[in-house]
Amino acid sequence: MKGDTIGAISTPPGSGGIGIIRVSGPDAIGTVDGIFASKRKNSETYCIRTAHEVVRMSAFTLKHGYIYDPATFSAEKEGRGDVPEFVDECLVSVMRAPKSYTGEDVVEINTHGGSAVMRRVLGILFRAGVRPAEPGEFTKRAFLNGRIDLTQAEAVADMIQARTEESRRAAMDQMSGKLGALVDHHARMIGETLARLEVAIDYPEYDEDEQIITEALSSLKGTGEALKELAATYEQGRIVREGLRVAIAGRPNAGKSSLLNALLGFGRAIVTDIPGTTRDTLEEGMEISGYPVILTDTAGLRDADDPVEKIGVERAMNEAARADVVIFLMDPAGNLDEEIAMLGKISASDAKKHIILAVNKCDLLTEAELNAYKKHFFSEDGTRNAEILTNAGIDPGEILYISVKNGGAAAISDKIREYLEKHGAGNGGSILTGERHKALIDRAILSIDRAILSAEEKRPLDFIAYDVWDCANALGEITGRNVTDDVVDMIFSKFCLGK
Amino acid sequence: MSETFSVVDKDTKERRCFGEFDVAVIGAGHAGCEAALAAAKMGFKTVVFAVTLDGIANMACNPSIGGTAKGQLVREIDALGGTMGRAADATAIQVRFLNRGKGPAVYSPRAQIDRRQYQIYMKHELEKTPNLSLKQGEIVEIVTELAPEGGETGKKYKVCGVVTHLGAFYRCKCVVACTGTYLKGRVIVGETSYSSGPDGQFPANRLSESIKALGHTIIRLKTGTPPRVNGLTVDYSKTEVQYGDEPPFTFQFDPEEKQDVRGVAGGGAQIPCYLTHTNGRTHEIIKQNLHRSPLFNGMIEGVGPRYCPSIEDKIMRFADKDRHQIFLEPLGRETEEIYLQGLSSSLPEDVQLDFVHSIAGLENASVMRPAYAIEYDAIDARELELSLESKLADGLFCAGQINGSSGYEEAAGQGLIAGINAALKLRGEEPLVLDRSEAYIGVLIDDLVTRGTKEPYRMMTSRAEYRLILRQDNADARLTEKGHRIGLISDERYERFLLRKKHVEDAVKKLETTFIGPASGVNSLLADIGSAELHAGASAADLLRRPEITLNELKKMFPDMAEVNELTPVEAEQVEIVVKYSGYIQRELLQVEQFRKRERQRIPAEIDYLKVPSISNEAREKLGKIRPASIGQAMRITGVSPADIAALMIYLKKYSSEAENCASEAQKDAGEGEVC
Repeated sequence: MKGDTIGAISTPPGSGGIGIIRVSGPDAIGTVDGIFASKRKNSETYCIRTAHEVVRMSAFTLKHGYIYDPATFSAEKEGRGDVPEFVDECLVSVMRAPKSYTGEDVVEINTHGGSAVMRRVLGILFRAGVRPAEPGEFTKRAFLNGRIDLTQAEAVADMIQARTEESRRAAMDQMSGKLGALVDHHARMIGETLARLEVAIDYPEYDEDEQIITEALSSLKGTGEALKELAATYEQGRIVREGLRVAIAGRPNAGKSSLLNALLGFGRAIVTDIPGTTRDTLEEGMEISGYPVILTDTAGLRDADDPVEKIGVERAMNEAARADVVIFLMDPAGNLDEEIAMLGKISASDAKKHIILAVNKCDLLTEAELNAYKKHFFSEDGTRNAEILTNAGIDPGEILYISVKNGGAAAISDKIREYLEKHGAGNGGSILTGERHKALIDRAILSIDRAILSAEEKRPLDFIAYDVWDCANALGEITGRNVTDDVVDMIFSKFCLGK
Repeated sequence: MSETFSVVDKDTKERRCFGEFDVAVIGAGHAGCEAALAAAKMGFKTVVFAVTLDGIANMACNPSIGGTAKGQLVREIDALGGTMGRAADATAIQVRFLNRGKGPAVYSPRAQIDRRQYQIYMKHELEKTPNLSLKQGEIVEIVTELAPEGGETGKKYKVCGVVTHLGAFYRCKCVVACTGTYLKGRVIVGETSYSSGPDGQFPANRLSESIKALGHTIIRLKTGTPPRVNGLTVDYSKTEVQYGDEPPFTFQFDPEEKQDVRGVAGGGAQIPCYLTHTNGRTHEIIKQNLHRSPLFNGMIEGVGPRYCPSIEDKIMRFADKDRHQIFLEPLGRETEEIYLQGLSSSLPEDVQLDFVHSIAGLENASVMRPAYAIEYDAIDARELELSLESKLADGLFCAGQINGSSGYEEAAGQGLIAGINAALKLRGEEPLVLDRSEAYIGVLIDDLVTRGTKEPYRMMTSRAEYRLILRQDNADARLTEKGHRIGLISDERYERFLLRKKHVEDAVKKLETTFIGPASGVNSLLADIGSAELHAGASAADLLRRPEITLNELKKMFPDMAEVNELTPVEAEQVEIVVKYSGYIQRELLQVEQFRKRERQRIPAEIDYLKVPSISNEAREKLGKIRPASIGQAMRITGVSPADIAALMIYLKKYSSEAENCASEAQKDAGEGEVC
């Protein structure tokens, strides 16, 4: 059964200067050939469809040219030497079956991006007989044609979602086996422990149980710690995979939307002097230090009467509760007590939430006014402000005094960068990104804990071994190695046995 | 094919036939005896050939049966209706449970055996069994005919008989080859080597060629055995004594069938073993003479077992160990001969004498038989099906050392399965294949047939993924039903088994449903054994799950549970394990469920691996050669990666959906035809 030809935009929507449209299937090359024209060297004339430029391309090469709509450019016009109206300038690459990602003929059209242009090119392809691909259909075809195995398929799924450099690195790590090598190391440690236990079981005359259990315990504890560290990187992995959620919160008219625009570098949100302009939450993606960051502007927090605004405030609180990082923006001209109360409410929603506290519009204050204002955050102030700040994990000395209008957003980006470098995977170590891997590492950790408990409860050796086997098998499922073979080999190479 | 030596009738040009049998078993070692007894008891006319009838069921190496993993195998053999357990019970001179402190999954029964008595017992069994003929003769050829073109099995050859060294031809429908270490056997001691079978028997030098001619790959393996000394010349005062367990146990499950228990469980005195150690001087002697070892001078080409290295190997590889254990095991009641476990060697005899005499207690020991290494031919067991039938010759089964295994118990387990499957084939029934979650025998055969082996394969509990379920105490619960179905377990014994099973189930249920409160006075009993007191009600089973509470302790707290009090010791052991470790057992059962799912994904026999896209060349070759029956089996083949399995599964999905499509297309066509 020959599959049909499918096509889709394969870069994430709305981002990037270049967009890729991928076409895969038996008619991929022919179809693209029919909508592609290239300029002749040293001439203003073009090779159009009769030249079959794409069909003649060698695999894994790029060709520069233009996409046109054959519906508006007849063979007759071509015969007359007319030039079609070009939709976009592009680079086309060809991969021939089976040496392509999907295992089928694949053509990729690198366009200039812009969703309108890409949709037009895609529309031309669909009219030429290409079917829109279902989500994940390229990967599914790759898997079905035996091009990739399950782990790779999982990593590729992450790769497709990889919006930024850091994400791509995590996905590449997994595919190239860096994570595998790390897990392999732990698996070997567990294997050695297991070999010790198994020797005591299969060779009763090798009678050093007490010592073996003591050694096993210390080795298991070490590996358990290391695996727990690895499991903790899943949280970093989540940031790499899904992006860091940063919510901008504060009272109305604190300058939240201005800050969003300043951070993004373009006017995404409508900014006015009227408090409550932002009614709904607004989300936009950006990149900081190579990590995807999802920035959310929220409605100003106040006890609103307007039902629409009320919903907006509710959403803002939810967004703040959901975010990894909240930028709480204050207005020195605003109501400090209410602001501090809001801050307390947000920090109470999650004790671990990281809050960046910034006071905006400092350019409007004299130095004396600013100094007086700053005092409100220290305990000498006599109010509960300092206590609330402490509970929210904010050091009064770390409060940013900025003016978004005068480039103050940079200080905030720096804080976000600092957070990412601490909690992301900027140290270059391996991180866990796949759900399946996380589940297996968790199983390994649980098994180790159970084995340690059994050993401490002085349960028989085979029950301790049972959980250590389980741990070894969980790790083996990640590395794909046969655990029994390894253990038996280790028994023979490390211990002196037999008649 | 090799030259045929059979007696040929001058007129008809046909071989003169000396007899017609359903099953011919080649070799009467531990595999051959089980195979012959099973086939004959299942109603088929069977003949078993031995190079010498004085070598039947010989223990050419250690005089013991059982041990870790091996004890489990013996119990399984007994549960299926095999003979090894009964023969061992009849001839045991000491029994011990190993690993008692290491958990129920690995409790392992082991018996020292009167070697000569065991042979006599087994020979007598063969003689007494109806349908069974015992003949002295070396088989030199397996006679085959070309299988009918396009036959069901797709095999090229079909066995039709065997020929002895005297030229006698016996017609048969199935052959079970259990050739042990006899095939082109070669004994090596130091600089000397000569053609020989084990223990001074004649070798079988011609049969390998015949097996090779059928297309089987012949590999060369090696094993070895330590010296034997006269016990009267041993100074036991310098050794540690090791006594047997009291009261002695039996391998057999069925108390009624224990009429043959004449060994220690039948009242015979237990004979102790002794332990001594090598020392620095022993190691010095060996190191100085290493250059005279055939292992190092290139005389040995066979691959030896790592689990049973020679003493010189141990000293070289584990140079930091300053001593090694040596167990002194008696060979029987009516002999003084002692087996020196731990001193396997292929060094010259004079070196052997020197190092034996360097060991405490053995200073004046008189060596009766020197240690030797033996090389022999075996086949690549990956050329067998899981039933142990050859993939190349219809009706040829192989069992024991010819398949690359090592050990009496491993041989007997395979022999039993091969004999059963030869009989089932003749009945036209499906073969008996035990999977890895059902029996150690299943693990053993699956490992040999799916993964092959480069060295003699010994069963170990570590090789069994599901050893909490594959226990020695529940072997009858796992296998007796199967043994009964094929006809090796009598109805009476089966009834008794069902009753035992019921006793266990009733007792477990009683324990789970009997509750006790803190007010009952149980707390003082708990305090006596240092167990935490009860604050709320608990079931008897809950209490039994505490590590410090045994079933016997529990009985004091619940004196009125008849279901528990009336259990026999064997049943009580099972109840205690099942309840105490139910958490672990439940977890393992979940894994077994996963495992069986993969085993149930069958791969059609006719699949052409050349047509499966995107699998590695190595996987293609291995899959094509081994032709696994299921995805589960395919996953266990060395060199087949998870990616290959994914590709194979995808192909199978396409393959089956194409088959379905074809069928539905055909239906559609037929339907349209009707409309027309």
